[in-house]
Amino acid sequence: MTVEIITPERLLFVGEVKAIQLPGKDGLFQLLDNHAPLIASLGKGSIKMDLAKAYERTDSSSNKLISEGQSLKVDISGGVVEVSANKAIVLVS
Amino acid sequence: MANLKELRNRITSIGSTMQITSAMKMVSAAKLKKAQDAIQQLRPYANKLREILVNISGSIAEGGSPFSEERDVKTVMLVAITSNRGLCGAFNANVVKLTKKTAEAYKKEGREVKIVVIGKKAFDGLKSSGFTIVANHSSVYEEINFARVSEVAEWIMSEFALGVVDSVEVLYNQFKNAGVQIPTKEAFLPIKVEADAAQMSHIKDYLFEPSRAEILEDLIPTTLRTQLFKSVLDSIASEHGARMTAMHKATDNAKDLQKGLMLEYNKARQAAITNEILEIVGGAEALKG
Repeated sequence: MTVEIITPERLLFVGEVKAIQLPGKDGLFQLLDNHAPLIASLGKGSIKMDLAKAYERTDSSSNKLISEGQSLKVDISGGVVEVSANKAIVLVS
Repeated sequence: MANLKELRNRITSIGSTMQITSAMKMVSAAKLKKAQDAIQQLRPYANKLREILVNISGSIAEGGSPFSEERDVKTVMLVAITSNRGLCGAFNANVVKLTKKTAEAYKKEGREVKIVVIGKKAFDGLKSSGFTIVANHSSVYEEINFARVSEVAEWIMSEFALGVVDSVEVLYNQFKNAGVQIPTKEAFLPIKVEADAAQMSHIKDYLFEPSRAEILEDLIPTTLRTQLFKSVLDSIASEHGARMTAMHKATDNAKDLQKGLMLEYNKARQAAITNEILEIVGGAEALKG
């Protein structure tokens, strides 16, 4: 599944992931491939992703992304996620 | 013809002014590029947010959010966005003028007007206008980022939610291109979520987590923050565009002025030489005789 993480200031991450764990408002949840269309509100916490291949990021000056081999973690304070057609778009503020 | 030195001085001084204006133009061009990039970066976020919002609210009955509540408008808040610095043509004056005009119109309708300024120039232009300036948020320009602008948006939203004001409008220069800025008035609150027919048609069947209403409640403030951020970014890009144009014109004017003075200087110089020759020839003639 393709994941895009977008902030108002820049595109934080684009890439293929096997699974993504998100801090939903009512608790953590995980999305896998071919998830049904979903819109969910996110609370404070961190996004964890299992990457399909080596990690790439769009902004080298950002220290928000921490590489842990095949997985990636991003701390957020809130946002919203939209899943449709095997693509997850996370808007974080 | 004793003003040769004077002319020379003026030419040099215009030359240095020209250097300054063309340097400022260059600086503005670079900053404009940066400001445009920032707008470009915001665009995917804003578009997606809008899309989600339309998707959510498309079929829901409106009226859940405190920010979409339409009240009888007694007090209007006008948010005037300008720059902190001048030397950019009519850029700031346009917003100030538009704000004054709007404020006058509301006053005539018997509504109370409260003005919020973002930018020192708006403050300077509006402080003696007779309308109350309730807040000055010019400090956002010290460091432009989403969090900074969000604070301002947050404050405006709380004023609206508390019922201090019943409607909020944002006045700023919309960025069209480097040469064109459009002074614009935009409704900010209460928020209207309208889906046009084309968008309505491809609304998908989404699962909502935790619930549609709760997501909407979350999204509306985010949308408002994004909207204000976009206005500020637009204003910044416009400012640099306007300054670039103004400085370009100033450089051109200086060039014209310098050309005219150069002509005058050369004429004066030639006249002086002719005079000198006449004197020498006259002197020689006198000696002969």
